[in-house]
Amino acid sequence: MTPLAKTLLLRLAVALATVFVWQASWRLIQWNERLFPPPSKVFATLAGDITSGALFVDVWASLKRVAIGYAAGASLGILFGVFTGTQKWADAVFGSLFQLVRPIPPIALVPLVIVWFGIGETGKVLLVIVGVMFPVWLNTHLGVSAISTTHLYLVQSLRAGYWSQLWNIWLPGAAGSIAAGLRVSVALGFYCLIAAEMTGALHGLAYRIELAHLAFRVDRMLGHMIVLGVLSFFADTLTRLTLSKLLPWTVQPE
Amino acid sequence: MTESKLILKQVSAHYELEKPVLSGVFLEVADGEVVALLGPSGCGKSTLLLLVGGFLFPASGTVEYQGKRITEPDNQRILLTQTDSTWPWKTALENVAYPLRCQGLSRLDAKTAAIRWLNSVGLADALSVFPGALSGGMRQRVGVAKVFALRPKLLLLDEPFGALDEFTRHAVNQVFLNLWRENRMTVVMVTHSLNEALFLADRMVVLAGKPARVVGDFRVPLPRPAKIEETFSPEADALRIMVLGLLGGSVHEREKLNAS
Repeated sequence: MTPLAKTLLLRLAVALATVFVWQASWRLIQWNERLFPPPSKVFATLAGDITSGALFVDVWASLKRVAIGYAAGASLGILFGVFTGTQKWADAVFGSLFQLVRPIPPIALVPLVIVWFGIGETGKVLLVIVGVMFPVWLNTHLGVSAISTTHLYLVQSLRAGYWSQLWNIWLPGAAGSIAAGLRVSVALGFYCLIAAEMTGALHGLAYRIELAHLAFRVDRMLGHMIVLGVLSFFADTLTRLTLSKLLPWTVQPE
Repeated sequence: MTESKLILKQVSAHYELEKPVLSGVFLEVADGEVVALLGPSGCGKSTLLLLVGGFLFPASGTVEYQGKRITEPDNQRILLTQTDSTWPWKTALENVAYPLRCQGLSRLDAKTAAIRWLNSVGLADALSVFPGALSGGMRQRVGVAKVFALRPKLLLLDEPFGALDEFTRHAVNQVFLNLWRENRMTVVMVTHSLNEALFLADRMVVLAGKPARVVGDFRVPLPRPAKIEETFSPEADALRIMVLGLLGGSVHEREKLNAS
């Protein structure tokens, strides 16, 4: 058995055990079913949402937002990071600006985004972009700035062109740090997605959770939370595997 | 007297004010000459290489190469640093090939040359290995292949063979001598090995003091290129004793300074 299969199997076992303990304790204590639904109820509701097709509509709507937002935010972050890390003027302009804006939690922007963009797709994707871009930018910037001067002597002597240096030295030299930023940002992307969907949408997992809240359907809230967790986990795993393929000289810890 | 191509006149340098590293250094290196720089560690030998490379500027005095003041790095003057001489994100092959690509070689030519050079330093089996997976000595040999492949007119080497075991070191010394025989480039080489200095260099320059200055400048009394047996001749031993005396003296000075 490969180590990967072993880990997955272990994870699955732990998850199943947790569900079992949850179900068993519910039987013992017999809590209010509506407030603290047992897993049997949660999964029955989830199965219903799957057969009706409603779950897939929500999953697709959420995944699309987070994927587009993440791709755009990460690209912008890397682009600006390399710029502010290598060009003094870019750091003076964009670096200072980003350092001012970065500390504002993206969730605080939700009301503003609704005022400006309504509850359509643009605003939601934009929130994900904001949430992803700053951490990726900071990690790229720091990674580029941290490349040892000793590694640069030879390129300086050879007078390699800017783009050649960018591609062969700056980007790969900062890749370890950029990868860390990309990993952290997967979870941050989901955070912002949730915040954006909860305040108003037509579809989406967090929107469904919010509706279930209004209808006092704790079973559905829990079921959709589990789906969100699973999606976020797979997104992180996918990112990690892609990065270790792309950057064979780095180690991508779990 | 041979025509001097690299001239340091009254050079002083510092990283922090009030803490000069070099002071009043005078050094002339003729075209095609191999100069070994010796001195206690931390005395400013690497700083001197950075000045000649154009990566650092003297606080006073001038550094000239071929009649021109050195103001920036140049592809005629290549520095091999003591550490970090390989890029961790490139394989051994790419590490040697990328600089050649920058010099305008085609992808294929760069690759062929890189393979040949890695082969010559005994790394034919490590072409697609990343430096992180190589031993310190192997990494150093990748660095050596990288700068040798560029065939610069002036080669600045900072303890280039220090991490190599005795046998590999002798083999890589031979590679160096072959390159020198073909290209007759000028070399300034920091080394801690008197044997290596005797074997490879035309001159031994001793730096010492805080701030450092040149305290000894000796012509190696052996035919060039030397045979390894000749480095054990009485003349070579006499030079060994002289240089060791100078280096030992500087250790005493330091101890006196520490005591006071």
